[in-house]
Amino acid sequence: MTRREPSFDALYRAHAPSIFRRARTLLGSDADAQDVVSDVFTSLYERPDQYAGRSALSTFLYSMTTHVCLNRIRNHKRRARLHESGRDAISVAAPHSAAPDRAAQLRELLLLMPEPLGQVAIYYYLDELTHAEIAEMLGCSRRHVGDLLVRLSAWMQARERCA
Amino acid sequence: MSLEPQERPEGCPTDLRFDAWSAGELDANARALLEAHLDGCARCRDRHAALAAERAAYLELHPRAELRIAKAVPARALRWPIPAALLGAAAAVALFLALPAADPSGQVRRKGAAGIGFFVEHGGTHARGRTGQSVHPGDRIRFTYTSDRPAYLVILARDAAGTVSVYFPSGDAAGYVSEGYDRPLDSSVELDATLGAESVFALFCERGFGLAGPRSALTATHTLVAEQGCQLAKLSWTKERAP
Repeated sequence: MTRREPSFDALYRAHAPSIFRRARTLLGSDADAQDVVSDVFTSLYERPDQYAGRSALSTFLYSMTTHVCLNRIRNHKRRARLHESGRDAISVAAPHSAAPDRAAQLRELLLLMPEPLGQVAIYYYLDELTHAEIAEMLGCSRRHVGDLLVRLSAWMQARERCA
Repeated sequence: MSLEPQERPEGCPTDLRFDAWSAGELDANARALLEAHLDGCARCRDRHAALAAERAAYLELHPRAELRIAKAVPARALRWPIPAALLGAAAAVALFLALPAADPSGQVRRKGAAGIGFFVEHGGTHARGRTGQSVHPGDRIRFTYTSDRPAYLVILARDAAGTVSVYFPSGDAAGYVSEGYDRPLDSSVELDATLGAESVFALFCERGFGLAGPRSALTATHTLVAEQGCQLAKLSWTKERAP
């Protein structure tokens, strides 16, 4: 289809690869990551007005992908609880990121981490964003990001003491 | 277990920054800064090259979005708001989308969960099609299918002049499709100038088959019959002169 205005296809080609890469890093599975790409673009197709233009589209999609992946991780966790099979329910395939060890560690922690800390952990430890960039992602102040990181650090130290 | 602190050297861009760059979202000043940084940073040149290679490989495997359109919303054209900073950028995303029509999915299905639907592109907008609706020469049709199991699929049409066309696949044998709900096919077709009623037949079969048989049957009998191991779905439209 040839059209002059940028199309949904153009949007897909500009952003789908980064969504896939991000989801694969977070979930550790190509198949799960491809499902996330489909989820994100189906959602965009059905509700394009959910992007309000307050940030760059790539920033919005990073945040959206993070939400979708965290939901999947939590759903896996609930299912795992139901089946009393511990962490077996989530894929632990080798990640494909610049920091694979960190991604694998983070995936394990996300299974255990309180929900409000999951996003900030991903943005800080995996994406290596600054406080300001995390604040833009979360739509909050830099100070609140600092508070969340302090809570995250305390949670991880408590886990280490218990281990 | 604890996580190591950040390793990204100060001043080096994040992957998010690289993604914004490749999506055309950076303004001229930001682009110039990033390019200057790359000139002097081998680490970032390598990372940029790796991301570009991944991007190309992904699009080679998945050139189009695979949507899961499971619910219908009212048809209306929407334009996305564009941040001022992005206006004029190469990848500014002014989307002109016509969303699926209010009629649930437009799917035409038989018992056993095989069916087809379609989207129409007309005048730069897309809308979900409904069986019986009007279409126009030059419109582009993209079919969707629903099947609860993998199948061999062919979509044929017989127009008002009695001409039989194969809309899917492009080869001489039925195309293999995986199971899926309302999944768009990879290709689209442009409608020709023959006006009048057109019937569309989708044949889903458990085994592969050539197109000569269904094409001959449709030409001779004006319809198709599903044999054992196959399911048939139909829809129609009326091609009218463009207003």
